[in-house]
Amino acid sequence: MIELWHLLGRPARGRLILALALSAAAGASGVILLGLSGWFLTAAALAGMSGGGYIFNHLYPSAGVRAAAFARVLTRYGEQLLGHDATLGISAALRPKVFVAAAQNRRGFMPLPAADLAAIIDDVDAAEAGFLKVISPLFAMAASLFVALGFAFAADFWSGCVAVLTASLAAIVLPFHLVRSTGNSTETLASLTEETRQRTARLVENATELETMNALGLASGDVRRRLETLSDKERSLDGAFRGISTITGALGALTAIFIVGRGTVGDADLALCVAAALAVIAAFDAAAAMVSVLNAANRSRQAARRLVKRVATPDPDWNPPETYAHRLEGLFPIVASGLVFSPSDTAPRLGPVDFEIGEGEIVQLVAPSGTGKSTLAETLMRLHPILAGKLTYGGVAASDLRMASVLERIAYAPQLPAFLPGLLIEQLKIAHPLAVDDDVARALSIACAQEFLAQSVGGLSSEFSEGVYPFSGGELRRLGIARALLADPQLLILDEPLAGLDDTLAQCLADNLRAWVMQKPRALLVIGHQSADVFGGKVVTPFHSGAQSS
Amino acid sequence: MTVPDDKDRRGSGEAALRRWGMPGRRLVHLGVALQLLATGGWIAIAFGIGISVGGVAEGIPRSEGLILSAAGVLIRALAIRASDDILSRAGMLIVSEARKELLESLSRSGPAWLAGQSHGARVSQIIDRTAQLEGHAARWLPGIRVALLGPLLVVMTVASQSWLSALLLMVSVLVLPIFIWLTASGTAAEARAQQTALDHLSGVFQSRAAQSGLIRAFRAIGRETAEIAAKAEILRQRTLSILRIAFLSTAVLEFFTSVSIALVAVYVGFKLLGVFPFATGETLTLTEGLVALLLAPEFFAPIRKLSSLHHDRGDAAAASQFLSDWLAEKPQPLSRLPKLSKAPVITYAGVTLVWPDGSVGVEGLNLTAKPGSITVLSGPSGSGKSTALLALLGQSRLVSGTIHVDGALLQSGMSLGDSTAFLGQTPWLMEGTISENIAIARPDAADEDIRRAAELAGITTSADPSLADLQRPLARHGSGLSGGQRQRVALARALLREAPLWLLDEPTAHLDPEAERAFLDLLKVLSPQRTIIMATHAPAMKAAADLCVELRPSIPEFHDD
Repeated sequence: MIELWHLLGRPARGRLILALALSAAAGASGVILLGLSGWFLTAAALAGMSGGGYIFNHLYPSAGVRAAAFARVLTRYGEQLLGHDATLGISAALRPKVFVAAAQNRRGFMPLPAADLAAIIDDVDAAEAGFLKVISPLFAMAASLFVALGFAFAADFWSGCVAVLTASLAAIVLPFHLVRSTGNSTETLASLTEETRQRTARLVENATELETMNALGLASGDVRRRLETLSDKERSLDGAFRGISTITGALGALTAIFIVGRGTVGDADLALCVAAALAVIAAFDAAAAMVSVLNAANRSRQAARRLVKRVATPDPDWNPPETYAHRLEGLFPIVASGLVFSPSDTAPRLGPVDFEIGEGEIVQLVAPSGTGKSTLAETLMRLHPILAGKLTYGGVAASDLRMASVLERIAYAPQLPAFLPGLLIEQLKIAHPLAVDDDVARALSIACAQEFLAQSVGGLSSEFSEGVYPFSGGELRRLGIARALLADPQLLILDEPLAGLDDTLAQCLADNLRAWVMQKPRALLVIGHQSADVFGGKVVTPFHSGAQSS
Repeated sequence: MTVPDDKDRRGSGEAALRRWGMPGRRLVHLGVALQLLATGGWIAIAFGIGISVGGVAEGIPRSEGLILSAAGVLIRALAIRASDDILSRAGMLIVSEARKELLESLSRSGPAWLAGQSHGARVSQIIDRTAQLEGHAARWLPGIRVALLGPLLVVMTVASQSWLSALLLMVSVLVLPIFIWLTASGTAAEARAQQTALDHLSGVFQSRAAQSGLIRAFRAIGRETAEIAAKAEILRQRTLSILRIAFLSTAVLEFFTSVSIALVAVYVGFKLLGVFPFATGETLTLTEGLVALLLAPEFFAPIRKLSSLHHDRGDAAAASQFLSDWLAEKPQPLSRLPKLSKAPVITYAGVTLVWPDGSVGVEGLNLTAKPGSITVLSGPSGSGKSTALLALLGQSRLVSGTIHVDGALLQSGMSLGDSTAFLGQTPWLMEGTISENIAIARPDAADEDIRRAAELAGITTSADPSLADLQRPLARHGSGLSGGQRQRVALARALLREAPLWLLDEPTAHLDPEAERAFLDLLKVLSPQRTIIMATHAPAMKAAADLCVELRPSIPEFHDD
């Protein structure tokens, strides 16, 4: 977790350090309060009994007791407030960095799989919680034990030694042993939890299928049993931690009794022994509370480690460093020869492909579904690395160019465009935030999207929410084209733009796009599983040379 | 579907909690008793130390004091361990009771009961919402009782030693609630607003993280990151202003705890010194003083836990309210029509369907599905393809139009379940052999029938020899089979049931193009003598359909392919 904090640029440094200091102070004052009280009582009683009551300086100790009480209240309040402030500050630094790292390392256009996203969110939550729930109490516990040991040594050397022994047992040896021995169980539990969740998900998703087969009772009974087994395992793992917590408390009390014993047999100052005994009890209680969060501590640490790996790799490794990168003068011609690429590290390789896109050209790239057309488009946008072969833009090799310089000249309208939650107009402006209404209207008219939008309920203010898009497939595709056009690219890549469109609309779209290409040094790349006469231009079938390497 | 009215609703969450907590009730009482025993152990420790130190001070060594303390430590440790164990079991029981009731409701009421929310949400409700009930039995119920009885026990013991100290403790605990109420009341509404902001930030982060590829492609990373950072900063400031007040209530509790201890210590010390200025009508010995001091923190300990208990209670109450509302949504009981002897002609005329929760699924649908043909319902997500299929199983309600099966009207509440084989995106598979998985469709089927169904579905004859052995056991939920192979198992089930009507919901969603082609070919071979209706947006399936109906959120279009 410290590493993560450093990586983020040490956010909220002042607040965090102050919060930890206050936490330690709060722990210490609590122990001092009890210890001093115990000493005061016993010393006062002894003085009173021996008749020296009125020469006993009662003002300082009683003031000290009251001061410790107030100190504790104030430091606790401050620690809570500053601790939360620091955590929020860390969160405000962490989330954007995680987002940037995730975005820049995302290959291709596809949204993050839900499981990956959930894992990232869980990790962020666990790491944030770690600062507050684990590190802060750790400081408090350390300070408490330190003060208590001070009291113990002040009372009597042997008491001090015994206290050190039991303290290291309770605060170090036992928790360490516990974490080691439960390491395996934690992992088994994690995978069991995952599996049980999946089974429940299967039950819910297949409920209709099961019901038609009258097997719903069977399946739900099975899920119920598994959930019970999972609960049982969780409970016994938790129980191990709570058990250690109880032992810690008991060790503290036994140490206190020993110290009192030393005082009663006369080998040490009785008042100091009582003080030490109370202090030890208070400190070990704090330690016991700490042990019970060990479970969370493990999770936080692992989460932080995963996040460090994410955040520490900001740039994909096929993006050349800025100092070495070439300038991109002209995008065209785009020439691919023997190009081999892949959608991910584990997916089979695609290609080799050869083709050329020149300025002012309309190129139709035809290949059957599933052969990697979309991946090829993404590779042209430098969203995937080049595994073999050559790809040049205006004569400059792709590997010499920064991704951003290519991305700013190419726009892609996918077959199933994705939108963020929000209004349509905001979503279109992602491509060009400074676009004025005229630009938007022009892009929509080229994409033949103005008519249906005018007739729709919300128009440009239509609301997109998570997974619910208020338009049909064909309409969304045209909105995706409008969005890509708004970015004013030099190369526009369209994926199956004519699917679901009737002949008039298809002609309209093709005519508009042809006119669009003529206006500036631009080109159009249309990807589809069959060629369309309306577009004309040259047709390439780069995957057909039978050379699909694996 | 019957929806309960508000008056019933309010009581139903609490009633549900009581119902689910019933099996663990004894355990909760036992847990409370053990925690009180632990308090007794602490009292023994306090007395032990007090007696032995007091004895030394008076010059009469009392070694039995330390033995009493040691015994107290043992009793306390064992009692705490036992009560932890028992109370966590009680928590486990309340959760499994709730889950049992939910799953039984599912198997009784059928899939329609799950409607109205996404699958992911329902899974989370079954697993995570029920988990929130645990704190109610494991911590709240015992905690509130111990918070009452524990301090009572302690204060009575303290009173036996020093009545003034006891009075001090009582006063602080009586004044405490007033202060807490003062500080807490202002924060409730703000805390709600804070929660909304947190959800919103979480949503902002999530949606952008999910679509990070899109954002990168439009070079909007910087902008969107700034958006996230800005929202996070706003959240921080708002949260802090709420927390500043919220933490005051814990500060007040801490104040009373620490100050009470300090006052007891000062009072007893002054008294023992003989310099306490007022007459208090009691003579205090060191033993009594030490016992009072040692017991003071234990007096407050259960009360300090109350604020976290409040969270447990709130979470459990909200969860049980939600769950009991959900349980009360009983869909209309279905009557299954007897199995049809041959493939039916299904006609939809001007059909408008709603889900059991009232939201519209499909409007104005017209189609005729004939035996031996493949009819495809197509359209983007949310256009109602699945709703249209489920109408034949009685899971969506007709508000206008009619559905006819072989000319006979299909009324609401009727299900063609016995005549239907349903195939979804990922068929349900269990651990066991392939043969057992197929046999789910008809448990009393003969081995010969199973083998024949497997052959027809291409399992035993497919190019992959690993499937040829039907007795081969499958790993957990059928991993080890490819998407295409799983769909063949589902087809084998359909064949075993000899169902004349096949409803398919996006069956090729997880298949690669080659497997999709193979599936389609198999469908075409098996389609004679069956009526097949499929909901899909895959272009290959639409191309192969005999009739393709395009569904839109508003008006349906037809085009024959």
